Amino acid sequence: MIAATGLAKSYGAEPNRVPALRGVDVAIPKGTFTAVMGPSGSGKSTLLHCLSGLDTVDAGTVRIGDTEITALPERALTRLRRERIGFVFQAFNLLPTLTAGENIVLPLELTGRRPDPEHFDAVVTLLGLADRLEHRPAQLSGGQAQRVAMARALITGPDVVFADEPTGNLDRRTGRELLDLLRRSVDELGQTVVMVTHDPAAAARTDRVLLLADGRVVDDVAEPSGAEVLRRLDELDGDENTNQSTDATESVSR
Amino acid sequence: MRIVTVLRRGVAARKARGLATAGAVAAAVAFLASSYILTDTVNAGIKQQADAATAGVSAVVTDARGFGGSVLTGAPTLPVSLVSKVRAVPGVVAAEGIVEGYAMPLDQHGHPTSGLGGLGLSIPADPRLRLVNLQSGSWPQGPDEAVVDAGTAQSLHLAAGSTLHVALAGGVRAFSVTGTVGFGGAQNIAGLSVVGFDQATAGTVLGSGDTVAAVEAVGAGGIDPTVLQARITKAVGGDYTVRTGAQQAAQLVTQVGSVTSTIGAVLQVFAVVSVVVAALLIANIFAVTVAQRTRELALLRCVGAGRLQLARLVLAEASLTGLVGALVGLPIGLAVTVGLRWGFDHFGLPLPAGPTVIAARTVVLCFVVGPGISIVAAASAARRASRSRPLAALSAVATGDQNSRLSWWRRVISVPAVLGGAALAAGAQGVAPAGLGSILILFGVGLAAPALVRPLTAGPRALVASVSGFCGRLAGRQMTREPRRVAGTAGTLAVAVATVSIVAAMAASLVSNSELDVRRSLHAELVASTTPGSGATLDPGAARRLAALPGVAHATGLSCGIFKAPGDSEKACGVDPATLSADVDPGVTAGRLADLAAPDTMAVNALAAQRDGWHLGQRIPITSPIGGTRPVRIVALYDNEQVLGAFLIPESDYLREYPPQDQGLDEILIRTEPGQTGPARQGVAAVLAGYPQAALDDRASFAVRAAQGFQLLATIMTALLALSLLIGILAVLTSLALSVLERTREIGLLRAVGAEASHIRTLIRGEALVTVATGTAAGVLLGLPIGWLLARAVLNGHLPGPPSIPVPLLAVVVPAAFVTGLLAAVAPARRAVRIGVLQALRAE
Ligand SMILES: Nc1ncnc2c1ncn2[C@@H]1O[C@H](COP(=O)(O)OP(=O)(O)O)[C@@H](O)[C@H]1O
Ligand SMILES: [Mg+2]
Repeated sequence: MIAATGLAKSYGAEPNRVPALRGVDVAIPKGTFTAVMGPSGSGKSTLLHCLSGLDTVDAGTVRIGDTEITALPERALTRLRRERIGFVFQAFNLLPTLTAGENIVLPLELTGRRPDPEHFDAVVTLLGLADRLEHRPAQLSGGQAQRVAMARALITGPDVVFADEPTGNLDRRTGRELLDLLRRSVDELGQTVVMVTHDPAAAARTDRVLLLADGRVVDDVAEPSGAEVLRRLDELDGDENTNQSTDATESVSR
Repeated sequence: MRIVTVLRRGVAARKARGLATAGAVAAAVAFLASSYILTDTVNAGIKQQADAATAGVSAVVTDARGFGGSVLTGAPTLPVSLVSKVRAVPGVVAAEGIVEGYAMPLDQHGHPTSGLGGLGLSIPADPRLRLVNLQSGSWPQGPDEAVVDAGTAQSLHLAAGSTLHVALAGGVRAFSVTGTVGFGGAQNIAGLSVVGFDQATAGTVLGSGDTVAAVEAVGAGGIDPTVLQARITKAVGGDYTVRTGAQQAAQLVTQVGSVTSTIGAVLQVFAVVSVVVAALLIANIFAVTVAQRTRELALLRCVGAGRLQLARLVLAEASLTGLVGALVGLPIGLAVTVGLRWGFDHFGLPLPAGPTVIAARTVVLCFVVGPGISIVAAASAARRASRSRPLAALSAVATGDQNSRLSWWRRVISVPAVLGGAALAAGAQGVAPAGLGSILILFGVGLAAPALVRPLTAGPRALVASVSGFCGRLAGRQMTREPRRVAGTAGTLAVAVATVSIVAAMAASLVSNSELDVRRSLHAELVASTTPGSGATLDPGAARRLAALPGVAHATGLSCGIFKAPGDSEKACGVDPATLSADVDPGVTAGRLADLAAPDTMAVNALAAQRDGWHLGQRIPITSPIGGTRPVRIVALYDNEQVLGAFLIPESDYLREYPPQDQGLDEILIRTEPGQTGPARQGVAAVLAGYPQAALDDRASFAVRAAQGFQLLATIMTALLALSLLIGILAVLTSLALSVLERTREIGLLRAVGAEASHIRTLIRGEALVTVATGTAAGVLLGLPIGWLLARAVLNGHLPGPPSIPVPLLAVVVPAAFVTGLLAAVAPARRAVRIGVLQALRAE
């Protein structure tokens, strides 16, 4: 269970302060697959960073299980990231000097731990990487690289996996395959996954879609279908325009 | 215009890189500037002192053959009778014979005050003829009075009326100090201690007998010095050189200058090494940054920048940073000069005093060399920049991997260079081909360096991995991925370490060779010796007193003096072949030493003979201070020269051909009765207590002493070159900093998946350690054999001992390189740790 209440975060100093999150409350149950969607600049990445302890918050709290991560010091956060959280980024997920297999066990290796061979095999088999373990990242296709990144995220058996546009750099088919794998990790391993995506079709494979606009959760769609998601996004675009004009009048009147 | 804006922004954006480049230039320029400033300052000091010494003098008469004149050129040779001849010349109002010799002021404990030498002088009655000027008190009069140079007076807290003990060839004598003197504004000359006596006293205490070093004359008011010069020349005849005061000043400058020029040469070598190491460092910086900027340069190409424009961009950046480096380096060089001066003083080689001279030449050189090395070093990077293709780099996924395969020309050139260089150096019969061979070896290894990174770093990488675990392994991987950067960095350090190692190994080999020489040749149990080149001698009476001691079988005094052979000026010692073999075994390789019993013969060290092209049986015309030129026949060649020197003549010839001062003993070889060495030594030491200029040694300690002067030069040289290690360390630092910048994203990723600050530090430190270990090891492993080959070449291939390992070097320089290498990792590691995870992941 991940719970955030009243999350607020701005970037930069006055007078160029950019609010990225303006009071976000979310609760993500264990073993669910959640999509975070919204226009560019709506705060999706920021939300993920705050939920995962990669970034500090200005206000609000984040709990992962029983741990209030917003109260943790840097070292404890690092440890939390290493042991209880998995990451998949849009690009540059792998260390070029390590083989695929070494990249997968990287979080464990950092503290000299050996992976549980059974779990390792399960993850590698799930992601179909058994014959790629000795390859260097430069020798992997984009899809394979993202699968290695996913394997690394899963290897520690984390409380939650955060994925920020993991399919953003992949073609449609490869993207769909990766999505299948994320879905299966939720279904078969009971993993909790939070994923940022722009693709309504991808969102349709999740259990729930959180729609962000302008730093706020503006919609929360359970069991979404592709068409439903598309409709809500279109709606949002309309809102966005009105929002922007409101902002403009506000700033003029100030 | 546009491209200039890009340049300006580029420099501003990459401060670390600019700072490192400018820093390297500044360091090189500083060392370069200081070497020139110091040399110029020393020379100006000498010139000023020479001018002051000859200020009132119209003409000076010296030995035309170049004998005498000062402690630097040998004992006085002119007959006293010459003085009255000069006085009689019309137009001369005053003339006096200048007497010089060994006189060393002693401190409270009876120790000599200067390691260089003590100069005893006569103070002529006519003030215009005095070499020195009075700084306090009054001039000495009578046999018990003396003046002393202001520097010595200061350090010994002497004032008029104090008693000063002075070591003379005849033993220690006490004088009452009447005043202090200086040379022009300076307190002493060329770091020598100076004691002045009145004319009559000087002749007695300095042992010059009826000879003088030079005759100085003052002309009547209004008389042209050149007219006077001509008249005196006519009066004294062709055996003498007559110079005007100004000419004599110039002569003094060349004489003293030839001594200090060794220091100048050492400094220049040091400056050149610094410049080379700095150039290597800068080349590496530019190579790495141009590779990093492939995308940026390609983008510029996309928007229409021409090839030449890009090359110019890189070169303009190089010259700008070079200029800044020169600007900063010059004042630092001034500070380094002060440090070097202190260092030379500290090593017992005080340099002449005088105002610091910054010649226009020095400034111009700094501003040419500064941007110059920067531009030369950036040239190949500029070439690569101009080659960047517009689209290729933009589309390529930059993995940052570098190719370790050598380009064809590197492969074709490197192997023959190394092999040829080694063959040349190993077979060399001279220093020049051996030096060329050494440079070829270094050059070839340098070309092959990128391919050598993987095998050479394997050991250190495995070590770091086993100590630091995963992060250590990661550091090792990083290094094999960038063989060029690592080769550049470790190579820069290696060149610095190699230069130090070469000098140290060469010195160690030559020192051990000279020790071996003594151990093989010396039979005498005890040796009393004076410092070579200090002018110090012992009177022959000392040897007789030692021989009379209980437990002493016999004592042989060795007198040596300068002789001239065609194109050469050497020192010969007089020996009696009948008794010599009991004291020393010179290791005769050809001829018979016994033949030295006949007059007009000579025995020569084999190496010296080879150098001069002399062979057994040849007749060589030699000139001695007395008696003119005569042919001598070479009757023997020998190996060991440390105890006896390189040229031996019959004692009877020596007594006849050399003036009184040269009859002083340089060395006394003492044989003791069997089993009596211990008790005899006490008696010997008691006698020698009256001669502080002599050191008493047994065989072992004399072997060490014989190599001491040489050792000193090697130590100074090593210490200076070790400074260029600083630039090598700077190379490690900048390389790591650049590598950290380049890998911002990777470090961010590591942090994101849970790497702690300590992990990142281990990673960077691991890389530093492997680089430093490889660079230092490569430098030492290259430097030691090259140093040995050079030492062999210096001795014309006659290096009988095994290669010597310079233990002090290994014990000091290697750990120092390691520690500073680790320190070099501190700043880049801190920077790497400080990078925010998110910021890092967003980085390009
Ligand atoms: N490091 C940063 N500095 C300044 N502003 C930032 C930074 N990161 C994000 N922002 C701003 O915060 C807002 C939200 O950004 P982000 O969370 O990246 O949006 P999304 O991922 O939804 O595209 C945007 O307006 C963005 O410009
Ligand atoms: Mg985003």
